[in-house]
Amino acid sequence: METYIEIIMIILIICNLWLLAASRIKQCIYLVAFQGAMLGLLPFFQTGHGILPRTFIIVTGITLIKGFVFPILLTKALKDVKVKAEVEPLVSHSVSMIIGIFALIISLWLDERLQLPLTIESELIIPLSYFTIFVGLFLTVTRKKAITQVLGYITLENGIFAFGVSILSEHPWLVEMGILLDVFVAVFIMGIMVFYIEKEFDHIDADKLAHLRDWKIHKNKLFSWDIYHSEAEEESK
Amino acid sequence: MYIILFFIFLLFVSGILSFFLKKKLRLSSQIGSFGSIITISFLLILSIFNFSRHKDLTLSFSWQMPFGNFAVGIDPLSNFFIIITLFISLLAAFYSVSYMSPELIKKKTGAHWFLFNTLVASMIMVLIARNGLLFLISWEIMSLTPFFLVSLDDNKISARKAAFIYLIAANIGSAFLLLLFILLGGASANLDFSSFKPEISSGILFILALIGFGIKAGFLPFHVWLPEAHPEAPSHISAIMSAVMIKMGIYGILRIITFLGLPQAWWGVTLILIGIISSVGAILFAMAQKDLKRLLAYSSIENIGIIAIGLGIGLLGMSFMYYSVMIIGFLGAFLHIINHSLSKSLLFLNAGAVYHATGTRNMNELGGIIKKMPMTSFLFLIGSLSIIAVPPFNAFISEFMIYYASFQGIINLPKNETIIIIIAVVSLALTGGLSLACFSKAFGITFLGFARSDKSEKAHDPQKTMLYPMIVLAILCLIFGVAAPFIISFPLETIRSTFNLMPELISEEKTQILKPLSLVSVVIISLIALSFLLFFMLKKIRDKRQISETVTWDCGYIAPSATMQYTESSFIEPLMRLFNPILGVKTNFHPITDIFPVKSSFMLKTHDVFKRYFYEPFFNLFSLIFNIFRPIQHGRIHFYLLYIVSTLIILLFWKIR
Repeated sequence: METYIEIIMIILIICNLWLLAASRIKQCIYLVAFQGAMLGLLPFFQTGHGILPRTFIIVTGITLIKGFVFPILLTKALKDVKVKAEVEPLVSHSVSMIIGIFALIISLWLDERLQLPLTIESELIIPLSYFTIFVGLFLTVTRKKAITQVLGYITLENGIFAFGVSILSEHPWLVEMGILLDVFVAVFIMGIMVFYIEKEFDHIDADKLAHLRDWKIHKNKLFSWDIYHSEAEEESK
Repeated sequence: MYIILFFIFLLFVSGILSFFLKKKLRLSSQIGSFGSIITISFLLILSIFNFSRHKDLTLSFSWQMPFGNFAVGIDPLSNFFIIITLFISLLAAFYSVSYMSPELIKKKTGAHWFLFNTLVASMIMVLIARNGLLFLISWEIMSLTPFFLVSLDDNKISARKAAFIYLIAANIGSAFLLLLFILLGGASANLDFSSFKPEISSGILFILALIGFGIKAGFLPFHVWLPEAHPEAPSHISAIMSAVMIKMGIYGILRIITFLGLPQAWWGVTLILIGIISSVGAILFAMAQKDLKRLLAYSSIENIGIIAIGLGIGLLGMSFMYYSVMIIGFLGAFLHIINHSLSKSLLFLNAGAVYHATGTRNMNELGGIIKKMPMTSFLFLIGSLSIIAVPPFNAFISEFMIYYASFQGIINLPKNETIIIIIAVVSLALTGGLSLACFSKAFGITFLGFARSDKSEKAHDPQKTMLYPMIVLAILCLIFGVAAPFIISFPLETIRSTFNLMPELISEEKTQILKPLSLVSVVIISLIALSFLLFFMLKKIRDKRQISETVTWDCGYIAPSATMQYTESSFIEPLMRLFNPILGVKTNFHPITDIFPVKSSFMLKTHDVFKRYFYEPFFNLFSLIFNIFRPIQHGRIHFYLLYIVSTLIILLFWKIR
């Protein structure tokens, strides 16, 4: 059984790296979905417990939601907003790859340092979960569009789920279900929000939302009682 | 007690309903106004009934909050303030039916009634709260609603600015109160009023209360929000804020004093000193104002100062156990609370009527309104007379009581304390004179003469719902002046129960006070009768003569114009020059030099000294420090996420280091 787990691990790591390199949003959506489905399969290969009915239910649920519902929702949102198909990263793909490899090394090192007080099926699961979390965070920070930030968020959750699977026996499934529900709602709302942002601003470029901030730099005047006054004057001009 | 809570709840609910029905303007306005008018009247009847029964009500049950029980109660001190609050709110509600009519404010009808009802409900909750947490929650709601009410007209820059200044001031006040209640609760962590056992020196608590409540009351160093917020709020809200809400500060101070045991002498001295600064300082600033409502706001600070002097003298008497000084001092303060509520709300409602009719509050654009709005002008005159404490009206009685207490104090108290009282007497006299000048300017420039701009040309008396509340207030101003001997038992009962005095002591004092007071009443009534007699005699003489109308004395000009009239600046200029060292007046005078007069002008400008030389530098320093952090808030979501990520990673590495 361990070999199967190892294979899945390798696939997931490649998935993560690919995510960093992927240049099209659709590709990213499929990758994240694939990653989720793979993670959903993971509990099947865990020995020791056998396949309990609840395991079965959860596995199917997760595979369904992550593998099918999310990509459908996201592709629908993508179709609705009609944006460019490119990812538009703030950090170029090659640099992202290099950072990704560093993140992988750091994850392995972290695993060495943080000894968990449990027995784990595969040595690769913990570093993989760190790696996935890092990649998810990295994606949310460096990708321009709101929809790619949603993808980063899902990746982040995938990492947390991988961690959860690895400590299956101690980890209450209820918590896992709660997180899943959280993410589901988040994706749902973000999908709607992305649509509305696009409707309002003609783009879903989260970078351009900066002009919504509620203050402006006053070069000469740091503070005065007339601060609102001068701002409104500018507006009227 | 349950009934009262129920009605407060009903008041709140009607506000919420009105808010949610904001799409249907008429309905929303009807629900809001009827809800508030009906519940407020019921509450008013209940509280008057309670007061006459001489019985304290309390109710306490546990609730899902820490620090004690949900404790409410009504004693005469609460009831005194509740009756004033409800009465003024009721009149303001009537007034706002047409002042804030749905045709005028459109979409904001729902919001207005929601905020209005919440404000009134929270004020009552503040007054009946008997638990520190409940008190603070109610206090906070009461402090927050005016922020939205001031900025109700939110497309005006000045309104937004005023609202923010108000918000900052209110929050600073709340911070002090939080500290105060934590210290009062002490180690037991029980904030029920009945279980307060102050463990640290009561002087510190008194100072905290003085600052925390003083910001709300508007004592002079802490007053900055008041002249900003009051002019910008809708007029009936200014009336409530000025007549009732700032009195909550006074209530708070009184309530805290009851927890602190016997006061020390310096408390009274401090309060008198604050009162002197507030009254004299504020009336000087008031004189220099061009904005009618801003002038009234400063005058509110002045009157709060007078109340503080009364309270201070009362406290001094209390700390030296001179009961006559104490009772008369407090009586003066309590009476002045009532009287100022009546006359100041009358004046604010009046100013609102003027603003409603002309669309401006700047006195230099008004003038000559007395011909267009005779009723309003007459009522404003009554309000002015009563606020400057001229005999037939109410404030005279209360200031008379404060003078009386002062002289009692000077005779009875130890030498050191008498000095401050003598200064208080002098400054009270000065304040009286200056406020006479101030209000004669306000009335003269606004209502007399000729119209200075076409804005006041089209003015007219307001509708009945706006006029009647003002008439009621004006009549009460007169009644409280004339019938003072019958009214003093109301505040006296409050004083008795607040400080747990013997009923015999009170009745003894009462007979002593009644001697001069009834004399005053008799003199007043005979004066009124005499003036009526004179009036009718003159009218008879005048009727016989032929009446011709002409311009006022025109200095020999052939074609006098409205711009040649006295302006408010020129009216007040001699006094301003006298107080120049304090006010820092800037004048801009282009006099006439040639034989043939050409264009000439005179301008006068003052700044609020405290705002200019203390608050502005202070907040400038603040913003200088915090501006360093401004680039962090750049509005890019990615970088915000980066902050979170880097914090997480740093924490992780810090942990496994």
